Amino acid sequence: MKVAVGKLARAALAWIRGSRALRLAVILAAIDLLLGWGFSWMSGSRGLVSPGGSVRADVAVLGAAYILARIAARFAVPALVAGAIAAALTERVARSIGRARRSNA
Amino acid sequence: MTGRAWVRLCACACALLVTRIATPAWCGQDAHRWFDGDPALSGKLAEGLIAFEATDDRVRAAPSSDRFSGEWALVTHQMIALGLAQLALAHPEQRERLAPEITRAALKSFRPEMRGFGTRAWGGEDAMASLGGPHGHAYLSYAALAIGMARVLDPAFPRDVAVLHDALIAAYERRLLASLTGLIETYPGEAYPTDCAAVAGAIAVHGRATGKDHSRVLARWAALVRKTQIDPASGLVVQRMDAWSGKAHDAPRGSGTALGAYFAGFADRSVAGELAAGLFRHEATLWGFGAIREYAPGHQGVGDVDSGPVLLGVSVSATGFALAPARAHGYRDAFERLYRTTDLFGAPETSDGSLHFLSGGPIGNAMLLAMLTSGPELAP
Repeated sequence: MKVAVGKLARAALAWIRGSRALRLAVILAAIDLLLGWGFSWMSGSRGLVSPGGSVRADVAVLGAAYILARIAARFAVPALVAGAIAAALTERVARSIGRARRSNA
Repeated sequence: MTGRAWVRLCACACALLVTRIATPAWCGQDAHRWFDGDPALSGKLAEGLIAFEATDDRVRAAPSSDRFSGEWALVTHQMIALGLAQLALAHPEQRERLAPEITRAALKSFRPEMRGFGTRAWGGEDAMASLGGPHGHAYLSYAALAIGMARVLDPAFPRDVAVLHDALIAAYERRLLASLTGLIETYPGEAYPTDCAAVAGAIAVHGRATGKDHSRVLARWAALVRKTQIDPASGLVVQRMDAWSGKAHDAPRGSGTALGAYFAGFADRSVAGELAAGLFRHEATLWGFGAIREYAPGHQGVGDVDSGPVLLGVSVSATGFALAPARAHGYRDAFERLYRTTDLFGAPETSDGSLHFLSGGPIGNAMLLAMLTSGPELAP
């Protein structure tokens, strides 16, 4: 079982390394996580505004960056992963169809 | 078309399809639970805000130049009190535990330093020191509404503050009965239908707390809202008006209508329902996400302190406030779409057993607690 999981993980890593879309998805997810952690740490429970109601510039810049990364991750990560899987499957199907045609010919 | 082009086309189609399904599902995973009133979820948000009030007490007790006060603080404490009160009404078993917390937040919203912005706007005239006068001071209705809900739910509510609350409500009732437009001023020369909905809500809740009959003033206010404050073409209320003539000083707008629908619900369920129906005619939707357009057709602007930034015609405040009428009046689909947008931009995070929306801060989280739990407060 351990060997199978290891093999699967190595195959997945190799697939990610070989696919530009998957590499981008991983990078986006990592940026989202990192900025989320940083924003959470910096803003604490106070959010973007000071007790007086004025915007705290440093937290606001990080917050804006985090929200942009969050939107990118929420939309792009599923798209990139689904696109990469679909491309791999379609390529495989196209290859097998090509092989079948050649052997028929 | 080459084989490679087919592969790309197929990958793009799958990517679009999966994003259309997965992203709204990801962002809306808690929408059903909020709509159905899952106490585990609302309890976590409430705990975060109760902790905020405890921290605020400690800061208030210490010498500090950066105390939480003014308009934003008034609204924060008011919304915490209203949100907790709605939870106590929805889950009566929590009432005993929440009642002191509701009173604590409501009392803070009623402190003189919280209404300093209004006192300054009226040239130094304090709302509570001029109850016999003609000036509206409608901004203080936000605190009056919170105090009213605390009186409904907390049998130990302090008697001295209840007396002040009685006097404020009597002044509001007299001013509203004297108004030909159903409006009383917030600031000199300026009346906000949203604030007047809060005045009506505060009067109604006072009736629930004390048994006093306010039906005459509430019926008159409801009739005048329909006659003078709702724009018949759009169904939205005008954001800012002249209190005496009822002349519009601003456009019919989503943020005022959404918050007005929430406040009106405390006073008159049918007026609130009409405002909600008008509001949801202005929902913009895209890929399962929803947002409320700020300006009625034919009007435009970049937004202000009421609406927050207006991007692509939709506003942050209108979208957030609209969660309350969506839940209270049973617009489940609209609620889910609005919640997905709230989740995407609000970034909810759970830590140490409490939930908070990262980009909201205290005021955003307080408002979301009140909006996401709206319903039990509706007038019968």
